[in-house]
Amino acid sequence: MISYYAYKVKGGKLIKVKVELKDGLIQAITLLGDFFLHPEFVLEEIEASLKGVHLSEAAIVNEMGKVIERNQATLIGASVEDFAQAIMSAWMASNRKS
Amino acid sequence: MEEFRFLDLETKTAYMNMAVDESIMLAVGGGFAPPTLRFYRWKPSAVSIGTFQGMSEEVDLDYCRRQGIDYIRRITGGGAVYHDYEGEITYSIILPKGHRLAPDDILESYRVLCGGVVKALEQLGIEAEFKPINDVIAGGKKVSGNAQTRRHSCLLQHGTILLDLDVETMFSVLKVPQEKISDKMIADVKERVTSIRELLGRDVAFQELGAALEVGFGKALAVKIVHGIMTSNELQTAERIVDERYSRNEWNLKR
Repeated sequence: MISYYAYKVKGGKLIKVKVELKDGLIQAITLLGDFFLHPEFVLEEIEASLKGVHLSEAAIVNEMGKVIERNQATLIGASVEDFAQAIMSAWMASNRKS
Repeated sequence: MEEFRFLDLETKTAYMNMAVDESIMLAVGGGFAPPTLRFYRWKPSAVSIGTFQGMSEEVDLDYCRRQGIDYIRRITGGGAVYHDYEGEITYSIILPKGHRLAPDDILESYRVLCGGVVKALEQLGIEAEFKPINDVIAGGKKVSGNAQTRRHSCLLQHGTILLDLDVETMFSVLKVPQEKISDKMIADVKERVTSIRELLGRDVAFQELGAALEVGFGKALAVKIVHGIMTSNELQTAERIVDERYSRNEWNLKR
């Protein structure tokens, strides 16, 4: 099942996540929004690296942080913590529905 | 004083406008062209979305198709923008990596380059200021949005300056995010966005705004604006980029 959540970062941008979860792991994820990430190609690397990651805020922050660090990338208008929160919220929202 | 090549206000399709920005980057990054400032309009009117946005999430594609409005994904981040042919001027500025006007700090470089817009508005008698992350505001309302990317050994910043505001069409084209509205506690876009004509309370011609922008960027960036043209190589490259990227669903509907 694909869960969706949109989250407006206070003083920042609007981020949206589409995430497919199975057995507590991220199967597939798309991160959307009007934030900035330099260089831009890093977003696809982040999405790929989140596949198979355990659904916990700390694990997501850690994984995203590693990819950003490795690429010396800069995220503007949202933080890795914001994305992690949005992913967790997507999961919680889908739990409420089912 | 350093010279910038200036490509004066021209009208192109959405595909060609975005491809020209990129072909100029390739030329500037390769050392074949000087830093370049360019002004343009979009015909037909078009909506551009940020590189990380979902097309069908942001844009009413059926409405666009019915009205003959083009839709395109930019290579820059940021939000969706409706580019009304009658309502705005877009500028782009392309600098080689390491240029004095292209500091590594991204917010700082927005501040520096948006200075051109602020100065242009000042020319018109409008007090405006840069508002991080990437806006220029006047009277507390957004009048210009800007977006930046760094690639091809260049910095590209493009942005729009609203001459007029067609809220009705804007709302028809864009699927307005409810979250954003409730966050700002203001449901009316007119409370948040303004235009040059509204600010001045009179008709302002494209030519007048274009002239103010030309002077504004020259002053703010302390460069000599020299009228120039695109090379045939840049034009050919742009046409290739249209074919390879911007005219394709694989790109525009990628997310």
